[in-house]
Amino acid sequence: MNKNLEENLKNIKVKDLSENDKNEIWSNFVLTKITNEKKQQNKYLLLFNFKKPMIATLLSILILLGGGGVVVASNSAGPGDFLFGLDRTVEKVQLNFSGEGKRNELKIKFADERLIEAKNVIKENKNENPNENSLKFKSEKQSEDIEDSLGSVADALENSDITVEEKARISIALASIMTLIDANPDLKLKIKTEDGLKVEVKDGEIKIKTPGEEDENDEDDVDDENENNEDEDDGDNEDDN
Amino acid sequence: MDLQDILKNANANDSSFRALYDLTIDRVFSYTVLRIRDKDKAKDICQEVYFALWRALPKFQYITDAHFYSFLFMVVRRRIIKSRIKEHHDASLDEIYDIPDVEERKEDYTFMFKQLGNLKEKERMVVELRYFKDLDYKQIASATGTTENNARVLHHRSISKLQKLLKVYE
Repeated sequence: MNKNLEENLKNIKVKDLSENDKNEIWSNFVLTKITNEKKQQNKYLLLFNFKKPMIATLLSILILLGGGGVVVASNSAGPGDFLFGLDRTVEKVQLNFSGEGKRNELKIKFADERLIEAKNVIKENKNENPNENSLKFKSEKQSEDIEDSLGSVADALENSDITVEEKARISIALASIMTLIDANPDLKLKIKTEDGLKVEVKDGEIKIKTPGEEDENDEDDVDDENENNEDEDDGDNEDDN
Repeated sequence: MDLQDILKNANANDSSFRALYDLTIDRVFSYTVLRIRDKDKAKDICQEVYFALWRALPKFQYITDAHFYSFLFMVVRRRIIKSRIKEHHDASLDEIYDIPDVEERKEDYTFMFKQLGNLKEKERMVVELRYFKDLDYKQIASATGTTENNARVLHHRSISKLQKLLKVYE
C-alpha cells in the first residue's frame, strides 16, 4: 500500500451526487427560500397589525429625542405658519398608526386643536383690524390653512364614530368660528351631520338640535337651502345677502 | 454562459441561481462530505449553503472566478462549523467513495482511511481533494481557504506523513 500510495489514492474517487440527490437538495433550498420569504412578509404584516402602538411610541420617542425638535416646534404652529403643514402631517401619521378606539379620541383632540388655532388666528386678525367688518387674513396661505383646518373638522364630524355629544360640542365651536369669520349679524349657518345632528346659527344665536327632536322650521330651512344652493355647496354657510 | 454572467442574474431569477447551483454543487458536496463523512448530513449542509449563498450574493462583488470560489467555500466552511458536527461519522467506504477493487482490498483501504484520519484536518482535506476530486492546487487553495503555495506545501507534508504512518503499521 505504501509503495504505491499516490496511485492507490488516485484510484479512489468521491461519489458524485445522483440527479435525484441534486434535485432533492435544490427542492429543499427552494422550500427554505419560500418559507423565509413568507416569514419576512408575516413579520412586516405583524409589525403593521399588532405593533402599531409600539410604532407610535417609537415615533413619539424619536420626536422627543433626536431631530424631533422641528416636529415638536411644528405642533405649536398655527394656520399660516411655515410648519403648519408638518403639524398636519404628524397628526395624520399618528392617526394612521393608532388603534380604532384611540383614533376616534385623536380625531376629537385634533379637531379641538384645529378649532382653537383657527379661533386664535381669527381673533388676532380682528384685533389688528378692529374696524373691518369681514375678516382679513394676513396671507393667502393663512386663509387656505384656515379653510383646510375647518374642512378637516367638518370631515371628522362626518366620518368618525365619535359620540353625538362630542359632535354637538365640536359643531357649536365650529359654528361660533364661522360667525367670527363673517361678522355679518344676519349670518345664517347650518351644520348637519349624518346622525341627524343639526347646529344652526340664526339671528346671532346658536341653536342645536339632536336626532329625534322635531324641527319646527323645516319648511323655512328648505326655503333657505333653495335660495342659497351655491353657498351650501361651499360649506353650509348661508348668507341671505 | 460564464460564471460572471450567471452571477449577474443569480439573485434576479431562479433559473440563473439554478445554473450557479448546477455549476458548483458537485464541488461543494464533495468538500462537505469529505469533511464530515456523512452523506445525509452533507446534503443538509449543502441546502443551507445555497440558502446562505442566495442571501449573501447581492452584496458579493465579482472580481475573478477564483475569488468567487474562495467566497463560496468560505460560506461552506462556516456552515460546517455552524452545524456543530464535531464527531466524524464512520461512513462505510462505498457510501461516499467509488473504489474499483474495494471488495478484494477492503482491509487495505480501511487501514489507509484510518491513517488518513490521523492527519490534521487541513492536511487530510488537501490530500482528499487532490486525489479523490482531482482538484488542482489553485482550486484546493480556494476550497480550504489557503494560498496555492501553502496547498502545495501541505500536500507534500501530508503525503510524507501518511507514508510514515503506513510504514509504521506495515
